[in-house]
Amino acid sequence: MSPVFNTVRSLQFDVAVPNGWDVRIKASAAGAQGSVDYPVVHAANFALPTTREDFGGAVLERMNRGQVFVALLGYGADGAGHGLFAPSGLPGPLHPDWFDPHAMQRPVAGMAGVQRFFSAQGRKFCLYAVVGSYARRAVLVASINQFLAGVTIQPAASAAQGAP
Amino acid sequence: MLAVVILEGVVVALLAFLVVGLLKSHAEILRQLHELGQGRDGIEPAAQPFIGERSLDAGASLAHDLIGETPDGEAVAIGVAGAAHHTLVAFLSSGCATCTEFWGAFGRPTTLGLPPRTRLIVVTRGPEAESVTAIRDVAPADLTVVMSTQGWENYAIPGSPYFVLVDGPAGVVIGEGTGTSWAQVQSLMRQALGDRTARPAGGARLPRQRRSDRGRMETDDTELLAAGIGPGHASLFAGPPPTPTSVAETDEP
Repeated sequence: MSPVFNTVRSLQFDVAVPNGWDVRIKASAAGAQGSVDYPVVHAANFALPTTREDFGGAVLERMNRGQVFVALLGYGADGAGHGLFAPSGLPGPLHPDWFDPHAMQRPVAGMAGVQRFFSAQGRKFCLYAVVGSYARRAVLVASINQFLAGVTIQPAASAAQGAP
Repeated sequence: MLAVVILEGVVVALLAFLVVGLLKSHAEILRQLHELGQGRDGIEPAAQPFIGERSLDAGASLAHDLIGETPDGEAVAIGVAGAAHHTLVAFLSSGCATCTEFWGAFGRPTTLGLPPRTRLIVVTRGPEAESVTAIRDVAPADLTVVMSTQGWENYAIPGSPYFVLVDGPAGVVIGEGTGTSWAQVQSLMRQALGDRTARPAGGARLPRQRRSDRGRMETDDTELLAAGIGPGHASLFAGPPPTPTSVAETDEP
């Protein structure tokens, strides 16, 4: 298998796609940002359904013990670099001990998640990652870290729209 | 009067020449559309059965991930090679009449009867070559549709409808072709999967000669049994027939 990953680009994100992964990048207008579009990246090592909630609703219920899901959500610029969003840059590599069954947006038996807030390129972001098995988190988190290593957040003004 | 008749004749001849030219031009346009798979019936399904791995030895049948955008404007990458499942990639367009059958069938996912662990993805040409609005109109809501001209080029798709079946873990195309109905494609898909299963472990494909030998052996067995020669028959344990050399030696004085 070729080690060269394909890349999908849209809305501030350049994402290298690991073999067998699905990646989708969309602009979402709902939520706390009102009418302002903000980017949402969904990635998983399984087939993502067409209908998904921002934090994995309608996805996590389908996961099995060997699967992982990652959501990257962009917000506005107000408050970037301060308070909850003080950390700079995409977090990573994630440590398996950071994953907690109680950190799930909606608890699913056997699974565990982690949520981190940060700022990059003058905007606020949230990373939410879930492993299908808390017991196997050491192996599963490694694949999440491999994915995150291929994510680049571009300046908003120069972000390329659409796929290559 | 004669001048009028001659003039009329010239006009009729010119019109006839014009009509013939138009007909030839029309035929040429239809022929080129047909070659592109954009004609009234797309490509001729009967001429494109599912075939086995396409030049596997030459590396031409390696699977490619599908990268493009959805009709709703999402940027999307679908992992095909390296996925834990098979993927049936249906290359469709909004314009071909035969594709209508498949758009309709894919809107009834519970009746599709896909093989186990097989994912269905529809790929149209990209927004620069396909109407996004038309695809939104025909695509069922829960169907994953990727608009990607690059996807068509990566798989060298001759026209629509066309189907490619990918073995995800092996990362190779195990069957491809077309049909006029979903039932026909299902049948062809089962055949491709059956051929795959029949191959030895490790994914290697039996050489064509080996498969021919196997079929010939089955035929030979049938004929021998019909002649009353079964397993253990004495004739099967006789010595080898004399070679031409030994015959010649015997004939020598």
